[in-house]
Amino acid sequence: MGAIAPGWVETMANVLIVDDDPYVRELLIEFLTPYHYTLMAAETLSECLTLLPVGKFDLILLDINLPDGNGLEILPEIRQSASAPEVIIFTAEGSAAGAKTAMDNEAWDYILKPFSEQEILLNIKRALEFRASKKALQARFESIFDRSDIVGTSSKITTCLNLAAQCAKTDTNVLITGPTGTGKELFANTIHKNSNRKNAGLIVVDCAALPEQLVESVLFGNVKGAFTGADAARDGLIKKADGGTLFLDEIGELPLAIQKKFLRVLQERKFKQVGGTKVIASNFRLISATNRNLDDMAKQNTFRRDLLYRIKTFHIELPALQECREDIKPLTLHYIHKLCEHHGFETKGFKPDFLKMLESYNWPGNIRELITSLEKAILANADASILYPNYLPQHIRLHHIETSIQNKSENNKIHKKTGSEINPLSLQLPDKLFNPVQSLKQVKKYTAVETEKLYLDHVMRLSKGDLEKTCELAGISKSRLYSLLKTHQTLSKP
Amino acid sequence: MEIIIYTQTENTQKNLLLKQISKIGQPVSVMIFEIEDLFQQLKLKVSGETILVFLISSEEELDALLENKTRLFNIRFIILLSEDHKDWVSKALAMQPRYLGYTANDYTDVGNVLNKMIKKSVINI
Repeated sequence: MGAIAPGWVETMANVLIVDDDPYVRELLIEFLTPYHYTLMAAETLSECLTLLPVGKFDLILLDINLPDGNGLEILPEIRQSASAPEVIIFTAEGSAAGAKTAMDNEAWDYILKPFSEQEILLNIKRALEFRASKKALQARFESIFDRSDIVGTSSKITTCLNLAAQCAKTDTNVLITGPTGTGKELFANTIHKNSNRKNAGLIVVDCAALPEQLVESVLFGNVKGAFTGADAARDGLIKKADGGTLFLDEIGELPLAIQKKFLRVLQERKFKQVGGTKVIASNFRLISATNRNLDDMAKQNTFRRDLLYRIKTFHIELPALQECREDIKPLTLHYIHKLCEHHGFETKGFKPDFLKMLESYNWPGNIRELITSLEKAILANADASILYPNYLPQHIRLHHIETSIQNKSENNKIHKKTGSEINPLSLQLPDKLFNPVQSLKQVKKYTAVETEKLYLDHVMRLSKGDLEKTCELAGISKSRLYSLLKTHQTLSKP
Repeated sequence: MEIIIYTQTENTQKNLLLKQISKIGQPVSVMIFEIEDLFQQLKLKVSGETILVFLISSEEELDALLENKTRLFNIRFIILLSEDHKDWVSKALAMQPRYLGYTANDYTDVGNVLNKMIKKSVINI
């Protein structure tokens, strides 16, 4: 045993070893047995994927070259599985591209074979310690922050949730921006629910739904007779938000005159009703949201810059759904359940193609569009217990077909390109054969020698210099190979 | 876009409301008189394509609505109260409506709000 003493990892971690080489599997099992991990082994990618949902693995040691494919190909699937295990890649043939793929998919490390016992144990130790601290932090975060219906584990959504958690306990003005349908109101509700004002209300003002002539009285209230139709004195929503949170949805739609008046309210937390003279106080926390670019609006003088500075003390920018595609699956699962409940159905399942189609679409309407599409699919066949791709709206199916055709045609182009331009065995005839023009016999002799040379070079590279393998591939004896090598070495000398 | 009105059968305001909504050129799909019937009807609708108008004439109706708030899922709605009693208003605002109005007017405000909501949903869809 190396310098690392058994017992350095307190947790009973579940570790899966994926390698087709029985010697490597046995060696790793021997290394790891003293540490009381629950060890499992798989020889192929398919075995690994079968064990993945049942094993609740903390760590997977994954070989790249496996009989049924490349280990890196299933790395995203492993990372996105329920237990999201850490992954250490090990390979006999490292490459920069492979290492990049591994790192892009958040693999813990990329180790080249042969590795020492010390090296692999140290990596496992660090990966499991990291995982333990991540779990502890997550548990702490979840125990203090109620994320409600915000679904997703992508780094972008996690960042937004962390920001929401940071600002929730303060009274800071928060601006939530992001494209339409990304869940701005949901975030506002979540911030309010986690705030010290949660026992008072969250008052929603949909600025986009209010006609210009109504906004002022809705926000500030009015005295009786203040305008035609003001048949009674009414409190405005700013007053109603006293002690709680005022949520101005689509704040970019506020008319300029109201922006000016509202700025004063933000500065003083005091205002007058429409037609009134009495100063009214309201202690509210402001959350605003918009899908518009308020900086651009400020440049165009359609949104007051001083108001923008006031409302943007804390800024959360929600990502478009296509920027966090890994969240499509959990969102789909979550909303299928909710929608089935809403429509009075047992929760429906779905075919893999159904999810594939959802994941390939670009979702310009973001989560709202996803929800509506799922709802349409659920209602398309009320009796079906399984959702099929053809239940989805036509434009989504059409997009999938168009993308598939496009990808296929691009692949064909690449194949053609590869065939004509990067053929490793292509041979160029030098000018000396044509200036002056040599006989056909001479040219044939030249090409035969050069072809032989190219061929040998290529096969030697394929067999990584292993002479026995080269002979096997080329179908020649060892003595013939030696003779050819000697010939061509001689030939290659100037 | 579908507009559904929930109201008590005997609420005389409903015809005035209907008249105003018809002015914006949007026919009302259904008018419902029982809260359970409303939820049964909503099960058949795509929630993002429906706007609900609640014409509330009693606190009991408001309580029933509040109890069933989650059953509205993500349907957008406006609430019209027959009284502006403080408790009523607080309960109505707790429902987070897109607009809170009162029945003591000619519903021009409701027509205007609905008009803007419909235009906005066309853009979003």
